[in-house]
Amino acid sequence: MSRGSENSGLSTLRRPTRPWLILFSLLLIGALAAAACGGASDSSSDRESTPSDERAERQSGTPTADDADAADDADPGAAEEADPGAEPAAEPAAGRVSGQLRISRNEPITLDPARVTDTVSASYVVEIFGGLVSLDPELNIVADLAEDLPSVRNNNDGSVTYIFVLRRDAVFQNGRRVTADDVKWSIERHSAPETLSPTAIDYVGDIVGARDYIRGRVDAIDGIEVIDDRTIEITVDSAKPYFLAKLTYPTAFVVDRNQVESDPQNWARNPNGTGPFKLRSWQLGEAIVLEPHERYHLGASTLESVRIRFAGGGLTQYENQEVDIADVGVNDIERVRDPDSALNAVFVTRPELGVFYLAFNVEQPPFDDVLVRRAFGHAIDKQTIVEIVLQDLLPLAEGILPEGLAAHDEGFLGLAFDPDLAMSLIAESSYAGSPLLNNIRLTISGAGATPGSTIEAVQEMWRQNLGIEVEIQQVETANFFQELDRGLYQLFNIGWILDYPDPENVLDLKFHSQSRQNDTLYSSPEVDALLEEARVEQDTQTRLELYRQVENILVNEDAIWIPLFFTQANQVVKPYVSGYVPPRSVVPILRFITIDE
Amino acid sequence: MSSGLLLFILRRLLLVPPTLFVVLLITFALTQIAPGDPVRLITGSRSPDPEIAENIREEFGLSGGFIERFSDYTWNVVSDFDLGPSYFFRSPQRTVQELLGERLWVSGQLGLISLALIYLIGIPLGIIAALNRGNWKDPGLIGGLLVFDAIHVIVLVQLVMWILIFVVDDFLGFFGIAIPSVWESGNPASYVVPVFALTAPGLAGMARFVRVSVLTVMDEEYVRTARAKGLSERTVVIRHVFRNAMLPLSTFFVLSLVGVISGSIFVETLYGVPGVGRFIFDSVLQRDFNVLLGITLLFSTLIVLANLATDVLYVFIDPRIRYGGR
Repeated sequence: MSRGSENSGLSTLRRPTRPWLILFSLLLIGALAAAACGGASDSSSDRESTPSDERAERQSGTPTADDADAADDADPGAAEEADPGAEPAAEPAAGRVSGQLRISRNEPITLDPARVTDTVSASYVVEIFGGLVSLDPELNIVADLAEDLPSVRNNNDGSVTYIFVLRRDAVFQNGRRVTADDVKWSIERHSAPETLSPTAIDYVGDIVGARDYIRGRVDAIDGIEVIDDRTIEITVDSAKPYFLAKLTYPTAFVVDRNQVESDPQNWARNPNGTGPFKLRSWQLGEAIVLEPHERYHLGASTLESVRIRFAGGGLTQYENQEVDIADVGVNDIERVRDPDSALNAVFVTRPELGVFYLAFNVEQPPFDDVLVRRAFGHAIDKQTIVEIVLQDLLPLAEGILPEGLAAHDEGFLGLAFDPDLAMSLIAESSYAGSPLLNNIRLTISGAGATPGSTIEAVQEMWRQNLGIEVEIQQVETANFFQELDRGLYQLFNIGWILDYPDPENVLDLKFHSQSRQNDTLYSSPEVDALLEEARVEQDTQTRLELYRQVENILVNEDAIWIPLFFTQANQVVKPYVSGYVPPRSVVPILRFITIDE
Repeated sequence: MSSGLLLFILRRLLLVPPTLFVVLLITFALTQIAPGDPVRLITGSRSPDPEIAENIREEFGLSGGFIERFSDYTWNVVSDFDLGPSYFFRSPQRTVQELLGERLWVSGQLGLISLALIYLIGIPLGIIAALNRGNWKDPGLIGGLLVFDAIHVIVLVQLVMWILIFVVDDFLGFFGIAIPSVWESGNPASYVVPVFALTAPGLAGMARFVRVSVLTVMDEEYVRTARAKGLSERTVVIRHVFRNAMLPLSTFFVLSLVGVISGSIFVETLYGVPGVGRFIFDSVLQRDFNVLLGITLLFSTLIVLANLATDVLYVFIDPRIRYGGR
């Protein structure tokens, strides 16, 4: 899926919510605010040591300290009045509910699995709902409602049938048992034309008969067959190794038929899913509270609840004891990396399944000439960008396939930084000396006040190394994708986050000449053939090699994308939060978390 | 109340619907020519299947001609007060009035508190400045207030937050107060930052307005007469100066109201307040045109009514003013 509802170009490095986006650009500009910022760093790093020290004491604490804790949790206001001297600001007035995890995310656009296209909504949906299979935090495909991964039957006509047996103990959050009929009904409901799912065609479309069904031409998906209460067979048109991974996407999640049918417009206000958490409350514009599904078949969470607020999420909130997990941005990273800072001990990073890149429209001059594309690639010093501009907060991307994919090749090298070569490529190209070279526009999406320092650095490198002045155009997200569809941009910058851990989800989707998501208009019979071969290659190693070959052609030979960096979670986590690892992608994680009190 | 006044109010009230209709027409037309396709936002970066895109368009009433859509929209507003569905928040489907409900309450509270404070603090400060004309206190006071006006509210919010959360937090903590860095419903301390940021920039305008007004009145002959009668300075100021100086102030109400509404866009966005201001900001980015139309309609109504109220108030403050009479 592409990046959430906040597609704001490179200026948003780590899913900042919008207030902070503005904030950071302004802090950079205003000398006044800059002074304030510096001051904040000093005083707040002092602050950080206090709560965590206090927490350490709590764990080994004396009974009296524990009593104080209990009082604190029950009524922090009262505790503060009773003992105003003891770290009064440590607990905010509203206090932390015992056993509650507090995090920040944007508000979901939808909680309907069929309609999710953005990472934000998906992050809620994967906790509330579930399907036959799911992804674990390491991105392995694991059984969820199914007892086990499916057995596979190869049919004579080349199609493949996956046989799933449901768990006996899988129940909806209202207690009703999940049956094979529920699975079939849900997938058909999500794919039905009137459900308006933008993703069904991509994620369910491989099932026999699904495409006709999605377009409203038939009444049922032939490829989904209920054998008995607990057994369901799903037949895919040909052996596609990535199909199982597609079933981990919400489009295949199970919803409660009774509920959806009784109120098609509003059922998702109080969804009855099968996932580890159920929706306790949704305060519009402010917060969602999730509570554990107590009969969850893979083990109920021990958290009292999870409070997810739609604003903030930055270090300020973390340091002010308002959230338990916070993102760390470029502006704060120096302070967090300081070994003397208490923040340093709670800092975690983890690469994610996303890549930021520059892309060429190969039909627009001068980028219809591969030499010009390569020259632009060779003129960028990614190392400097990552080290200086990004402060090593994100890993440099040589290729397209991020770490975490089996096909990721640690030794892969993209176009090397080589200004001389870049200049000579331009001179060799058919556009040498052409005025077109001085009329290039790089389009980015977003609404920030500045294009972001990464893009400014790229612009400067092209100016210095190629003598080419590239104009930067920032377009709001709504227009950006629309105009991108129409092939209006010659050069653009955007990110792609994989929906499931398979190279097919980026290489096939973005570069096959027949894919609707091919926005570079790239068309290569050679790459098409390789991609089609990889779709059905059964030997994992051979298949990965095919994708690596495609990656190499795209990056080094045809230079369609210039990958800049991969996405990565950079977070601080309160010491009393255990079992949390930043997920590599949108996967259910909350049930692994416990709070030590 | 004279019948002339009643007639006047009636006439003005009759003008409200056409005014709002014109506002609606212009806003609706603007949403049509604004770039950006709401459907494309719904499907994210994923290029939608043309058939599915058409179905989505249909569901949200985005297909059909301008006249048809405008009349549908207007009819729904007039007949059921139905502002239509949000394009952005869907399944569960949310109507604009539902999305606005709670937010209006939050923003309304902040706005009313701030407006009240602007008046309660701004008026005395303006009078003090006027009475101190000629010595350092007058420019000192007005200059000091202008600082808050001059710092853009975006920076002001950050500054206030930083001071309250990181500088004086221990001091506040001593009194059991902890200012949250992001709005938290049900926590009274949440009000401090937004109310301050909405009030402070409005004070200078109010104080200057009052100051000028008071100074003008002080030069009037009837004030000189009052002094000449031997009334105490206190009586002169309260009975003669103040009352007359307040007259133009009622006009200022609409200006302050507009200031507080537009200020709330920044303040609420920066402080994460789930109010109308932040909703405007988000909805613009999300091309949630129905929400924007609804909010525009709401605020236009508010401002038109505030204007009307101001005109009516004049009658009570200034007995010389008569409406409708000859």
